[in-house]
Amino acid sequence: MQAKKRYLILFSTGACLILLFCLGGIQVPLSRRGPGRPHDRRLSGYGPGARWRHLSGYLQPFSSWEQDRSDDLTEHISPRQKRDANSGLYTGKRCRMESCFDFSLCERNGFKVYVYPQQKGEKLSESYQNILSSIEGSRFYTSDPGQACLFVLSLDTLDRDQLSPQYVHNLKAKIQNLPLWNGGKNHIIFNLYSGTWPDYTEDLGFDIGLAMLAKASISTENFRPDFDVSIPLFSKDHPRTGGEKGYLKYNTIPPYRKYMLVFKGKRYLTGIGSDTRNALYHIHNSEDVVLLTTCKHGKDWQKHKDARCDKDNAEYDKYDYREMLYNSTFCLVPRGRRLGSFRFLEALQAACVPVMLSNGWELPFSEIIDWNRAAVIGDERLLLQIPSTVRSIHQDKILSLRQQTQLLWEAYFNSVEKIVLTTLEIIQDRVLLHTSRSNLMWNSLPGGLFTLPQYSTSLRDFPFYYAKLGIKPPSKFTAIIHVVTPLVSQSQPVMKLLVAVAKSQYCAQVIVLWNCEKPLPAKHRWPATSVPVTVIEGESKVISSRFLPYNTIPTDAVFSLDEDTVLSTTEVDFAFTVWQSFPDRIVGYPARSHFWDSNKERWGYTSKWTNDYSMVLTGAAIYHKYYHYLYTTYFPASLKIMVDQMSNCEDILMNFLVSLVTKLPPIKVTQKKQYKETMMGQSSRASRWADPDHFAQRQTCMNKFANWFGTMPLIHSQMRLDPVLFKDQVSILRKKYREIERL
Amino acid sequence: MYTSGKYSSRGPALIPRMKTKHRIYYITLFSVVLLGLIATGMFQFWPHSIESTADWTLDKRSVHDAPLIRLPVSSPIPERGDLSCRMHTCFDVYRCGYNPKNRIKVYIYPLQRFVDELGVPISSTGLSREYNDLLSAISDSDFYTDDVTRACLFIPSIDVLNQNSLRIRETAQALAMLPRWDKGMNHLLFNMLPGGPPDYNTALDVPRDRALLAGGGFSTWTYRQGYDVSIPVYSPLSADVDLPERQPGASVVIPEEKLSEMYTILKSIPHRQVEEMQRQARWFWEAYFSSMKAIGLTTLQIINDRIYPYAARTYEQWNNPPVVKWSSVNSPLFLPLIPPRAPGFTAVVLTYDRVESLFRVITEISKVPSLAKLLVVWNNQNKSPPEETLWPKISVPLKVVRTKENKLSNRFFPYDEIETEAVLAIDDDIIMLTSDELQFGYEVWREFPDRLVGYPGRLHLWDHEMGKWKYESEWTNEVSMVLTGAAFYHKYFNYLYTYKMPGDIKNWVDAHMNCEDIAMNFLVANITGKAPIKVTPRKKFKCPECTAIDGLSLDQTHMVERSECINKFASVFGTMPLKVVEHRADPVLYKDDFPEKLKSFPNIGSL
Repeated sequence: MQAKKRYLILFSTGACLILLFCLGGIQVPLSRRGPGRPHDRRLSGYGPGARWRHLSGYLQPFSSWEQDRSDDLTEHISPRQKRDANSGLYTGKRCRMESCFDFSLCERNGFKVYVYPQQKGEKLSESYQNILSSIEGSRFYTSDPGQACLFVLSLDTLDRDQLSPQYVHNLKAKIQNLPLWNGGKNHIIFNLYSGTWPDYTEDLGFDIGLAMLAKASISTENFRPDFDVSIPLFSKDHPRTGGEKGYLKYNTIPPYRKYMLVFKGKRYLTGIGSDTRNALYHIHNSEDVVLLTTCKHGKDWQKHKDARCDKDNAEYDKYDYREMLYNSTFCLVPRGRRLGSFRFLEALQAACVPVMLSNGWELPFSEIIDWNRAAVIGDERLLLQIPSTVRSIHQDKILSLRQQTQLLWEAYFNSVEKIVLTTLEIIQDRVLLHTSRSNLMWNSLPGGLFTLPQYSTSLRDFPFYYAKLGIKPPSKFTAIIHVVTPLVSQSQPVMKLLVAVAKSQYCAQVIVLWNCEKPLPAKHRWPATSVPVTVIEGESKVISSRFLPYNTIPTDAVFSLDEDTVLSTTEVDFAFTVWQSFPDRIVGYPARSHFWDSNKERWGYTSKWTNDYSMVLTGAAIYHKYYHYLYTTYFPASLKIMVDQMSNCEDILMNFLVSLVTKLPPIKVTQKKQYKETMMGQSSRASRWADPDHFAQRQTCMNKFANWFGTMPLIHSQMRLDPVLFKDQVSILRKKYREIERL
Repeated sequence: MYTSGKYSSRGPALIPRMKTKHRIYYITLFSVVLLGLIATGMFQFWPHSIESTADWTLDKRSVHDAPLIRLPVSSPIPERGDLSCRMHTCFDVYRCGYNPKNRIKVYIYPLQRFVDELGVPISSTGLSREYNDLLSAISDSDFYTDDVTRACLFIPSIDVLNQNSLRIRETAQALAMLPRWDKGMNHLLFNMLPGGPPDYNTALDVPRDRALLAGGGFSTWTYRQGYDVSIPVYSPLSADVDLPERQPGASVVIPEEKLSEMYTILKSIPHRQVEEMQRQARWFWEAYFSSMKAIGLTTLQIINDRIYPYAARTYEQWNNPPVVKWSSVNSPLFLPLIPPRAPGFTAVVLTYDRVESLFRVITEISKVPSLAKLLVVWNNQNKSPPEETLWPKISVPLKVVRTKENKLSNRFFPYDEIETEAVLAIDDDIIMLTSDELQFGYEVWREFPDRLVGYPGRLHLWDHEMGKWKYESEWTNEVSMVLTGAAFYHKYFNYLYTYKMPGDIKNWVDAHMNCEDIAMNFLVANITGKAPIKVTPRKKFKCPECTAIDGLSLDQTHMVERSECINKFASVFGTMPLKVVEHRADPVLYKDDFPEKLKSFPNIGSL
């Protein structure tokens, strides 16, 4: 037995040896044969061809999850607890919303902003005055510090350059004396200039404590992400409201302009920020890349003047800045002494795609704006590559960059009010994290200021993104009939209207808004319809209540109607199919127009038959439900109260709003004659149109609104939309909307 | 003997009688040996299979054969990560430079095994499976270069995914020993599990100079904005995703302070949106975080976008799942501009040899106030256009372009001579359009510069019997196309037609000498997602003496061919982009009971 066992062991060991040898024998020659890579040598050295090679043998996973979990059980503390443990560590330069902002102040009353009362003898610069009045005129404003979530100083902090005449002295003491300062908690400080010659630091010269900074030319090093807001540098002439439009009028093809790249500005011979501008001459070719600098600035420029100055100065005077700005595809925006310069907004407005050369500049509103869509972000270190970089940009991309400059300019930059509101909205988005705007809302039309996430954070619920999402506009509408006269007979126009509208194949629901002083009529008095009819009593019976975003509106489309409107089902159907093609506009029947009355120097309103129109009356119009929300939320109370007191002009205001948002005119569809006569002839008993003051009031409204908006947003259209076969010489039986043609 | 007999009746006879456990041992041993011999034999006599498995065996070996590097105790340690690092301060862009492809080149160090002076490895796991997957994916990608001198970004093969398996000081020394380390400049480290107890720091504790860190679990204090890359913690077992960048489309972010309100907040999110978010989150997961490969390549793409920002992927490219890309449109003319009237339009007349008709068309069009220029595209190579003196005398410039080939697509070429945005494409036999109708068409185009605005309208229909699309030119209540025999459009679409027409549509049109207008309608509708606008009532557009209503179109075979075109184009586009509408545009006071002389466009619809 023992011998056998030994024999067997010997045998098997031998077999094993043979086996091992065989396997090894295969490997050895193979690795020598190899695919001709002398990798053995390379493994040890890092020759230019040393490469990393795939390994696919058994490897351990990088972490054992079981072990981590047990660790967590014993040792876990939340980041919050940890932060609390070393509170004081994440303040000042390390402030974040979580560590330096008191969210609880915003919980009770929402996002309200308090502005300190102006102190006597305290001088404010025009720009700061504009900032404060923009806040005071906004829907965020509260005069009660107890309700406020955010505080704004009435001490001018815009210019902190000690050499500047605008510089406010003793700011430190003045701020510390403010009773509500609270170490700067929930305060925001606006600043355009900080530091001074020669080093232009970003220090404000006083302790901002836990306050947030809304600052121009802020560097990425000093910028506290999700806490500070980088704002653009704007001049003292920047308009408070309204603001100029972008200069882009045409999308010319090919998109190239006379110049490829231009710049005209000062050259700092020495000191901070001088390097890039001093080097510009290397890429200047005086043909399509025209980069001009002048040494002539400051008192003693001659002292520092270098060999190129005279030649540069001469060249500089040959070109007109405006001409270059409007005729160049790209505009260079190199840093100045500070990181930001006026060139940035100038280029943006001129639809000259900015080429940024300002390393370390946290671009304006970088938290929400995707600058790669509107600018070329260059690197100062790669200045010499800039011409080839911009030349390599495809013309489709240029076309898109250029349009985006205009979109952003008009959405966030063209007035002090927009800059301030954008700053506030960014902070509001942080405070109400779960209702914040998406990147798309900020970077596509109509922009974040008109896309309120409190309405919905889903893109589908807005009228602006159907095409972007690849979805169809809604297929049903809710009719809202505004009633101000009591029900006396079954033949009243409102009864006919209700039946006609309810019969539309697109009608989902009819809401009767009872704004009449008389009590609600009994349910059975309303005609029977196939769609549900809801009667709601108007809140305080004011006219603005017709634009409230009622929860009872189940559809995205609203058909707004006056009680005396006369419409047939066909007309309703046709108008709705038109609206589906233009879901962001007001689509309706009777139209009105505005004009500039140059004799009286004011806006005029006309209801005469004209060859164009700019408003569609909301007594018979379809639009997206979101505009109800926007109307109710966007305007400050004062404007809505004015409308309610007159019980007039609510439709003008709505048209102003929608045109401001879309930058497009409303759409008028064809209508039967009789309807027009009712409206025009003002025959209805209840009609407020019968009031002779009514028209004069509307004229006044136009001017008051234009004044509040700071601009005239209305736009004219010369066309009306008719059914395809409208009044065509073909059998009426072939026509789908034949009712419209019948008298 | 009795027992032996019993055994032999059960087991093979050649196995000697012995204790059970010995027997099992021997059986196992023997079978292993036998199997080994068979396997060896197979290797020996099947040489081809050896070749194909060679790489695998090689690679397996090289994990252990990676050169061993002994770290001297005094070996330098890099500085702790510099929190002020940004791309413009700590990253050497000159290494990346100008690059026509706008793509960074990434070098991966070959594998080495680092041990301290006592021979103890610096990491308990060595190269982990995940890090190997990650590096493999990168080396298979377009980013990879094996030429260290051309590289812009360097990735050490030292695995720092999990800090807990590392010896921090030695790992740092190992990093510093890398031949191109240079204070960590342009080096990228991947870390998923930073700091261990008790601090649980949110970033890797290994001192790393200026190296970029792609890390999981950054806090906003340790994350260097625009420099580091935030990545998720990968676990093949778990589908939980720490969304790295703020993505409101796919997650709800609730501050810790509001934890108690979480239920209310989550309840307040509409159902529709929850579905959207679920879909979005799923797509993010699949596209960017589902594997080490996805994570690695996403990180490189993010860094690439920072270095070549002008070639960066857009938000939509990052965020839209392909299914959305398919149905959504991003119109190239997205800004709502109503261009001024002043520049006018350029009329482009395509002609072959109908000189008389052409001259009539020219004379008629020249009466339109906003006409800026007339361009005649002479498509006849065998015949010269009439002498200059014979052409009608008109007040705007008239240019004749002679083409090299008689192709329909010549009418849509973006000629340099077209200096206006607006183009009026018009056939040489459309003589019945009045000046008012044309001027009104131009005014409507100004309100819709991104659409085709034309006179004769057409429709596509689904033929249920045949199961395919059909072309319709009868009097219908709907419109989905306008004929480019008389239509205004933006010059951009000429460029698009000539250079960006999908598939072989352009050649098909030229070969069939038909359907160029249908192709143009497809193209515009596809890129804008919008329907064309038909203007003014239907009428005869050609000479009254001609029998046809409008167009070559009455010919039966011609109609069949046009139906074929629609089907062909729909298959090339992969979808039916045409949009059907039921409206047309007329002047505001069209057919209204109002004095004609006060109307801007009184002469509409007349023959």
